[in-house]
Amino acid sequence: MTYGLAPLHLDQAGLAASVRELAAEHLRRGGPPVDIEELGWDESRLDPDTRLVLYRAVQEGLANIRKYAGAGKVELRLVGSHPYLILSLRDDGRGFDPRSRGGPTSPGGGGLGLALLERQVRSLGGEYSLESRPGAGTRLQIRCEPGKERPWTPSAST
Amino acid sequence: MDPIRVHVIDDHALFRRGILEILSKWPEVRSAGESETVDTFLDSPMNQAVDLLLLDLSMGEGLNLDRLPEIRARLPELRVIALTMHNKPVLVKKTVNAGVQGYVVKQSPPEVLRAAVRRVSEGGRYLDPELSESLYQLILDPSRDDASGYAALTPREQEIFRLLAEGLSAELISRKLFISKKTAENHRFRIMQKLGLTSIAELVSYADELGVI
Repeated sequence: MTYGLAPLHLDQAGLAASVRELAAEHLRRGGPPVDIEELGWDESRLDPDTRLVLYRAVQEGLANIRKYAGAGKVELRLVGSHPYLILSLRDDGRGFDPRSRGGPTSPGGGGLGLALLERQVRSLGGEYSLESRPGAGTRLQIRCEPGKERPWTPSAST
Repeated sequence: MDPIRVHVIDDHALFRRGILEILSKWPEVRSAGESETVDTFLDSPMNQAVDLLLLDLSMGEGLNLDRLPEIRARLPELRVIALTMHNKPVLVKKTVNAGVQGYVVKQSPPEVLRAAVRRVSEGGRYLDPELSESLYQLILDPSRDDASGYAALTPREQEIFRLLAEGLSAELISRKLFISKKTAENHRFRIMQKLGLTSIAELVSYADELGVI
């Protein structure tokens, strides 16, 4: 994962505006256009940890799409679906066969970044899924509860 | 002509006094008191001597709005003007549907209220000209109506939308969420209505497009 410092503006600008910025940056770096839709949730009810993990997910997901997918278009959705906020990132690229995924570092399998992301999502109590088929694109979905109170766990600090 | 007897309901005392002060300057109007809440008004015997009610809607989300059917049932002759901070088309629509005869936003000058009081007391209806722009936009582009579309779903409806899209029947949803089957079916109906969908197949396809399944 791109472990820069947490983006300074994320708390102020909010998740919705920040992912639009990521999509613009992605386009400048030669990635395919991202169709964004966000609906049915409230920025003010999002806790900072969840916000950061979702931001990282978009950042990492778009980076993977640029590197591996060869996609023509990307759909990014951030949709409130009580009790979850659901992030869905879908591309129409070359995809991969999940069964042949040698490990988290195999290309197209998501790379190390996505493996770390999966751990972070689970440590927040969220659900993570990565679906793909050769030739049929890839889809990353994350479901988490936006303002969930959760006990501290050692893995949450990774 | 007898003066129009006007009563004011608003939870802010200063605002009520201010309105009564303004009304006292108009010869066609006579103050018929003020109340802090709808309950105080309904409990008071003097409510029989009121022709027109100025009702504040700003007390929380639609709190007084929800009381309108009761007010109408108890005092069927009473005419009501909603007096509110809100100018969102969706709220105007809801309020008019709830049976008020007039809608005036609090930002407007007193002349607007005066015109509304006259018109409504004569049996007419009145919408604040301040609303023209937003209502015009709504007519041009009904999809901007926030009473419809995914953003208008309540949390419960969002949840049931997802469960329906995942293939659960109303029966299964009712058991999962500890609600009656009838309630689950009502939710399903409201969801389809708000989203303008006509079949579960359309619902599934929309949920897929939103990435929630």
